[in-house]
Amino acid sequence: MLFCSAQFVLFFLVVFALYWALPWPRVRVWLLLVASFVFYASWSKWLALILGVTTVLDYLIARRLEVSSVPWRRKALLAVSLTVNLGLLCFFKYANFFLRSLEEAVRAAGGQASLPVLELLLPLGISFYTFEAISYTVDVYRRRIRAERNLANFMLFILFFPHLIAGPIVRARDFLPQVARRKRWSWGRLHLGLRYFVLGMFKKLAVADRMALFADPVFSDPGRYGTGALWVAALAYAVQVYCDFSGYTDMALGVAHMLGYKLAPNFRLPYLAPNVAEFWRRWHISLSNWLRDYVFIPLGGSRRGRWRTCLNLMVVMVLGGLWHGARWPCVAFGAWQGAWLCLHRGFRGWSGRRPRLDALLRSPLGTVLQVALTFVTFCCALVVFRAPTLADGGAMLAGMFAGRAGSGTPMHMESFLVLLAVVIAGHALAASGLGDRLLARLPAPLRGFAYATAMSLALLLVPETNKAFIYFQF
Amino acid sequence: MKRDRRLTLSGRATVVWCLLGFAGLQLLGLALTGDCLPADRIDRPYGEKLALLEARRARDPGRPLVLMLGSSRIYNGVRPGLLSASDSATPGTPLLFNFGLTGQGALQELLCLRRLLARGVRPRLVFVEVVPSLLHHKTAAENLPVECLTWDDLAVLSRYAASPAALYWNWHLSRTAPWFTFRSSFLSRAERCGVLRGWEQRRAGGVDDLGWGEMLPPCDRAEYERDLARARADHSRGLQVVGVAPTTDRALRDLLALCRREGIEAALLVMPEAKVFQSWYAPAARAAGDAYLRGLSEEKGVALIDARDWVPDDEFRDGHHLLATGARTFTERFGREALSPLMARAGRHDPGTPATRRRLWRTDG
Repeated sequence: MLFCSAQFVLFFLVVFALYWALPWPRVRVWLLLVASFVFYASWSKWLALILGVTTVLDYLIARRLEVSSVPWRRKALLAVSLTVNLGLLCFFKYANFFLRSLEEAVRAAGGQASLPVLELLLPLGISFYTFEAISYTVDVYRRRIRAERNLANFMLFILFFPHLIAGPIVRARDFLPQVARRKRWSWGRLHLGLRYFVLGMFKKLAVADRMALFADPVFSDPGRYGTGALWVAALAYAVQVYCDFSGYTDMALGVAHMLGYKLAPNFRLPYLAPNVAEFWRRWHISLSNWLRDYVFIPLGGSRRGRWRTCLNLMVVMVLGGLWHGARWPCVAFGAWQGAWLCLHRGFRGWSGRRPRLDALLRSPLGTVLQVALTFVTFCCALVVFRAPTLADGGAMLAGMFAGRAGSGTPMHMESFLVLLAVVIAGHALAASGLGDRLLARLPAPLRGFAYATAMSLALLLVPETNKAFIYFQF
Repeated sequence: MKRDRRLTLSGRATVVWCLLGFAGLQLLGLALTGDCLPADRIDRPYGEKLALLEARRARDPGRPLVLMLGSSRIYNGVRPGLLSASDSATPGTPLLFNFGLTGQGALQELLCLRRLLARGVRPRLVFVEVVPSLLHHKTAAENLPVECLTWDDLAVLSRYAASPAALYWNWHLSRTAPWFTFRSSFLSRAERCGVLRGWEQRRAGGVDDLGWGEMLPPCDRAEYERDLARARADHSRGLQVVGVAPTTDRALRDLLALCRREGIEAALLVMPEAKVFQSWYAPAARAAGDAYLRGLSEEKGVALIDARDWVPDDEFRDGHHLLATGARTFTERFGREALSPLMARAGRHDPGTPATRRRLWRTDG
C-alpha cells in the first residue's frame, strides 16, 4: 500500500477511527501492531512473517543482554543479533550483487564462471528496520538504554507502519517512551499531521513524479539527448529524489502525528547547505546519525588524526552508498561523497587560517556560491547514482560538460520551470520562516481550503505513469 | 491555557474546513465532468484513434469502412496507408483503419465496437484480432481501468465480471477523486484554454492518420534479445496452457453475434509471429488453440486468417510485434489475400439498419 493510494487512505481511516474510539492504551498498541502487520503483509505475507520472527529474536536477545553481566556472553548475544540482522540484509539485498561481481572479476582475470542468479524478493524496508534493530541491540549492549520488557511495545517500535518501509530510522530511546505514554486527542496535533501529510502528498505526486518525466527517458537513453536536456534531466532527478523521499517522510510524520506519535524530521532543506558536511547533516538525517553513531564513532571518528578520519569518512560513505543499492554506481556515489567530505575538511582547515578568505566565504555572495557549488556537485554525483552502470553515468557527465547536440527535453519545459519555481519558492519560504508565519496568520477556513486545494492539485498533476517511492527499493 | 484553547479551536476549524473544502472540490470536479463525459474523453488512447478515424471519414465520406480491432500487434503491424486503395478518394473503395490499442483483448474489442456503433461509426467489415497465446487469459472485467469506463460501459462489462458489485464499487470509488480520475481530460481542457501548456503526457511516437503507429522502433541485438526474453516471459503460460478462458470465449462469440446482428462482415485474424516465437508453443496448446479458432470460424460463419507465417523473423521487433518493414510485408499481403476477397463478400450482403442506442446495450448477446 502506497501512502498516496486509495487503498491506504481507506486502511488509515479505519485504523484512525478505531484507534481514537478505543480508550485503552494497551488495546491501541495492539491495534497499531495488527495494522502494521496488515500493512506489511499487503506486499508479502511471508516476508511479514520473517520480519516478525527476527523482531522477536532481537527482543529476546536484548532481554538476555540486559540481565547478563558476563562479557563474552554479552558479546556473543550481540554477535548473534548482528549476524542475523546483517545476514538477512546481505542475503536478500547483496547476494546477487556479490555473485555477479565475483563472476565478472573471474572473467576479467581470464577464467570461466557461471554463478547462479538467486530469484529473491527484496523485503520492503529491510534496510530501514534492520538498522533500527541493530541500533536497539547495540544501545542495550552499551547499557545506554534498558531493554524493553513488553514484547508488543518493542514490536511496535520496529513495525510501526508509518516509518516501516522508508524510515525515518527511529531510535528506541525516542520511540519507546511514546508507546508507554497515554495519548490524548488533540486537534492541534491532528492539524499538524494533516499539514505534513498534505505537504508530503504534494511533493510526491505533483513534483517528484512530474520531474521523473524529464529524468527517466534521458537516463534510459542518454546518448540520444543534447547537453541542455542532460542538464535538465540531472536537475529534474535531484528535485525528484528530494521531493520523493522528503515527501514520503512528511507523509510518514503526518500519519504518525495523527496517531499521537512524533517522529524526528529527516530533512532540513539540504539543498541550501553551504558545504557537503552540512549537506549530510540535513539530508536523510536519521541515516547520517545512525552511520555516525554506529560506524564512524566506533571506528575512531575524528579522534585519530587527519588520515584516519578521512579513511573513516570513506568507509562510512561507501557503506552509505552501498546501503542505497547493490550496484557499483551506488558505491561510486558513496566514494565520491566520502572524497568530497575529506576535501572539505582539508579546505576548511586551510581557509580557516586565512581570515580574508574566510570572511569572503561567510559573506552573502560567498554563501550563495558555496550553496550553488554544493548543489551542482551533488547533482553530478546523483547522475552517477541514477545511471544503470558506471559507464553510462560517466558518459552522461561527459555529455553534460562537453557540449553536445541531440534531442531536446522529452516534455514541454513549462511544467519543469513552473515546478522548479514552486520548489525554489518553497525553500525560500521555509528557510525564512515566512511560510509558517503566513499559514499561522491565515484564518482557519482559508488555511483549511488551502490544504484542500493543495491535495486536489496534487491529484490533478499526477502523471499517468504512476511511480512508487524511490526509497522503497532501498 | 488561553493559547492552548486558541490552538485547539484553530486546529479543529482548519481540519474541518480542509475536509469540507476537499469534499467540495471533488463535487466541483464531478460537476465539471459528470457521468456525461463520453468514452473518447476519458479513455485517451481510444479517443485519439476515434478522432483520427472521424477526421479521415470526414475527408472521405461514402467509403465503406474496414476496421482492424486488436492489440499492439495490430497497432504496429497494419499500415493502411500502404494499400493503394486507402488513398483513393473514389467512393466505394474501402477505407481501412487501424484501431489497434495496446493491451486490447476480446472483451475490450467488444467494448470498442459497441462504443463505435453507438457513436454512429458503422464498419462494413471488421477484422477481430485473436492472440492464441492469450486465449487462456481470464480477462476479468474488474481488471479493466475503471477510470476509462463510462456508465454505459459498465452495463456491458457487468455481464463478464465475476463480481459485478466489485466492478461498480471500483468505478464509484474512482469517481470520489475526479481530479485524479479525469486529470488527463482536465489538463487537455486547460491546455486548450492556454493554461498549463505541455503538462498532459503525450505518447512518444506519432500515429498516422489511418491509425498506424511505430511503437517499437528498430533496436540493436542486445535490446532485441532482452525484448524477446520479455515476450517469452509474458506469454509463457499461454504458450503451454490448453484451453480458452470462458470470458474470452464469450466475449468473442458476443462480438461476432453483434456483427451479425448489425449486418457487419467479420473475420478472425491471427497476426504474424516469428518462427522463434512459434517454437515456444507446446504442441498440445497450439493444436487446441488452432482447433478452437477453426471451430469458432465454422460455427459463426466467419473467415479465419492465420497470418502467423507471413513475415520473416528479421522483420519482427521482439518476436511478435512487427517492425515498420514487417508491417509493410504483412499489410501488402493482407490487402491481396484477405481484404479484397472479404470486401467482395461484404459487398454482397445488405449492411442492415443502423442500431439504436437501446439495442446496443441489450444484454442478450
